[in-house]
Amino acid sequence: MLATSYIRIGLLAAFVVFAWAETSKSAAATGSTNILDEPLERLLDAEISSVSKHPETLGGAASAIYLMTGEEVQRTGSRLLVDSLRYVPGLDVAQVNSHTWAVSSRGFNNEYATKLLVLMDGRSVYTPLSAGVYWDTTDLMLEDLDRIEIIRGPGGTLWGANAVNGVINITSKSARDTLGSLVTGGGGNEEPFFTSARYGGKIGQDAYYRFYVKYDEHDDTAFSDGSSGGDQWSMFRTGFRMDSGTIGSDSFTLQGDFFNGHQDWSYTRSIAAAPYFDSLNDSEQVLGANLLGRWTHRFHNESEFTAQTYFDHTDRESNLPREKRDTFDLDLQQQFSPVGRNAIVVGLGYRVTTDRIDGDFAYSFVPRERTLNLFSAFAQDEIALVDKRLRLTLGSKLEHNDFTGFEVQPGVRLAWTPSERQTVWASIARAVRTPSRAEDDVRINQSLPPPDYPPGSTMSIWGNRSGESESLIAYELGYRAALSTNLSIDIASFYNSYDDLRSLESGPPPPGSPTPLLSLYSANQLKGQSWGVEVAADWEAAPDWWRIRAAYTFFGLDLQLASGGADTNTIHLLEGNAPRHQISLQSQMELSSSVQLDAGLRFVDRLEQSAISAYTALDVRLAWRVNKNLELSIVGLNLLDPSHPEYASTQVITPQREVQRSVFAKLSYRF
Amino acid sequence: MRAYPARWVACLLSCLLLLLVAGELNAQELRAREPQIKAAFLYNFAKLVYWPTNAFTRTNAPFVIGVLGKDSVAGALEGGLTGRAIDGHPIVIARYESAKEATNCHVLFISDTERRNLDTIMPILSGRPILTVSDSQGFVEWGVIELVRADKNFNFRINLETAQRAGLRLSSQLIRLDRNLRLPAASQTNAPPVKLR
Repeated sequence: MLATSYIRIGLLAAFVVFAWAETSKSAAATGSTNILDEPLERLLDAEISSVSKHPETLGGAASAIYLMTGEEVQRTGSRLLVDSLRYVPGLDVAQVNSHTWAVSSRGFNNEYATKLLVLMDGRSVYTPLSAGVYWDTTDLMLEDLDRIEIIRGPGGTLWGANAVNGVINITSKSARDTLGSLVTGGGGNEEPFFTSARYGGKIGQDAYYRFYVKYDEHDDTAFSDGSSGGDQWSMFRTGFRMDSGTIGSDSFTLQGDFFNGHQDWSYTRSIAAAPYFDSLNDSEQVLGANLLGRWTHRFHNESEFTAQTYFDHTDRESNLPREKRDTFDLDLQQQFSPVGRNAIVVGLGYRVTTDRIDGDFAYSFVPRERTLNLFSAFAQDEIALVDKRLRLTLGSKLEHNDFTGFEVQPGVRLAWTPSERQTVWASIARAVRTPSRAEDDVRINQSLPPPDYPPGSTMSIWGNRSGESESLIAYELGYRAALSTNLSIDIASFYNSYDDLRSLESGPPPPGSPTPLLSLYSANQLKGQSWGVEVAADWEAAPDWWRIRAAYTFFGLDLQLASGGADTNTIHLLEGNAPRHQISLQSQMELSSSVQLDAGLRFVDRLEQSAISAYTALDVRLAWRVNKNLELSIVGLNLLDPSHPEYASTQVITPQREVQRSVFAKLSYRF
Repeated sequence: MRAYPARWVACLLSCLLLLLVAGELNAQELRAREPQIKAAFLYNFAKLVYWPTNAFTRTNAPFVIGVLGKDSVAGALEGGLTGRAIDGHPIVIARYESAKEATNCHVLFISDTERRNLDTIMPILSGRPILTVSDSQGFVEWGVIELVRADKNFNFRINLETAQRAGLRLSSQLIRLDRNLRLPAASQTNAPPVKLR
């Protein structure tokens, strides 16, 4: 397998040399002309070679918000969207195995991290099954990515339940901005082969469309002894997006995706009879489809009405039971400014999701099928107390869910902008994380094998319908400043107070179950506090060609048992599974108008509880724009060590897998 | 590893593609940094727009290109256009912090940083012979020309109505390059373009 990779890289290298020779000829012919003397027709085709820039509008935002443009994401060299999030200040991204990630902000990270809400073009991609996010399918053609907006801290006021510790909002480009054809392809040792193609065009006066296909193969991770983790996977995706209408009146978007992937997976599963454990090598299918429509109407007085609806289908085999799910969602939103100083947003939403979970001895759900309804309404008013200087934002979300009934999530934010160069902001907000289907209905059985236990002994964990939502009151304070024309800094700090956190308490099993040796049920007997500071700096070291970004994250967590609770195990797991310090450093250079050199260095502190050592990783990307159609790039990820573990799965029986050094070449051709 | 014959087919295809590309390499291409391109657009616009005679106090009065708000295009203009002239008027570059200072310039680039203040800026400039240009999204609803950033290049959109109100006459060469310009039906029978948007 390695040999074929080298052949492929060799071939690419040969062509790079060939292409280089060709361009040097044409470069000599071109000579140096001043762009000012070019006629307007030529300027329309002139390509922008710029250092990616942060949108300036962030300056006044009253929350810990960070933006990554599509270009910045590509420049991290990541093959998947999730890996680029490693450079976002305050986020904790750890790869569990080749197709599973644990992503969270402000603690509580695991592969089913429950306190982060992720939206793709307005479509929620968190699963009500575990309240986590499937990062393997949260992907798109990175060339079509417009931006990722990351809000750390509670976003409950606007975004609703589960936006407890953060919201990640992924936005793809309008079809207006992806005209023409693009073909990409490449491969390397850990990314054996990947390819994608997109075509964008125009229909009629003001309607645009694009269509894409994408196929990726990802190699296995490794066990600590170097042997294969047996978890390679491939994913096929296709989709489209249509945008029509003009800014200023009505605009419509219709988009959809379909994906189908196969993931190898080897694990050990509990079975009822001797030998009580079963080692499995599976290839599991992951399939999904979605369709979303959005209509925006802008009124003459700048007010705006948006209606959005989507349908989403998921069919996943995984080491959890097989999950089939259909979701329908409708959202209405109205923005208006009744009196000069107010900017009001109100919204209504309805979501219904139906699932069917096929279980086995180890994992099952009772009942097997369930339909859940969610009604929500929100209102927010941003009031300019002093014009351009002091803004107060008040809002609340009210929702009704089938688990806990009504939930209220109010928030208040204040932003003081003493001059255009700096903003100080503060906020207090309440957010809740509603129960997941698993916390309500799961039945987990684990065999306790002889000789330590009598034959047939099991431990069982079961869901509990009388569970509460986890709740948070968050206090935040932040400062953002443009220290000079080329240096800006963003500091956010927080103190979070949690109540009713999930725990496992011992109690009698639900009626009808076999009597286990040890029986635990999902309860809410933990509470705790977390605190932290996130600092991000952005420095244009040399105008127009060198940009440096740095980020530092400090995090602390202290949990306690609520009265009646006894689950110290979960306390140790949560407290010991968050890196205390994280540092990242990114450099983006335009070596010439056609060569980019990007590098990223990141340090992630140790995870005490799962014995994961601290690690430092280096990612490098070198890209060469051969001409306006063709780009070649070579990327090296995790270059500093042959492999390192980033996370130990919280599933006891899964051995720890390590992320390996990865090198690949990629070419993209536009025409 | 499974065998992936599709991988080799795709690899071959990529090689073919590369050969095609190599053949195309002789095509000249234009590539520059964003501020330089924006400056070149402004310079070209200035050459393709006719100002009313009262916009200049005397025949050799300076031609003022202003930048309102913070934008790197100012540096590119100063570096590239100093010493040049338009119709005999030597170019002068000015940086402004408020719209009130900008009332006497000919071309005004409004930075995206001023997006939130457009409702106070534009009334001050309204009716004056100023070619207002900005890359702020939706600016075409306010001013004369919006530079629209596409995937890798800039397009522009013209609002003929604001141009007319400003007393500016736009050359047909400029108008026909607005790929999104919607002319009223009458224009197809050679009538002059009148009211738009």
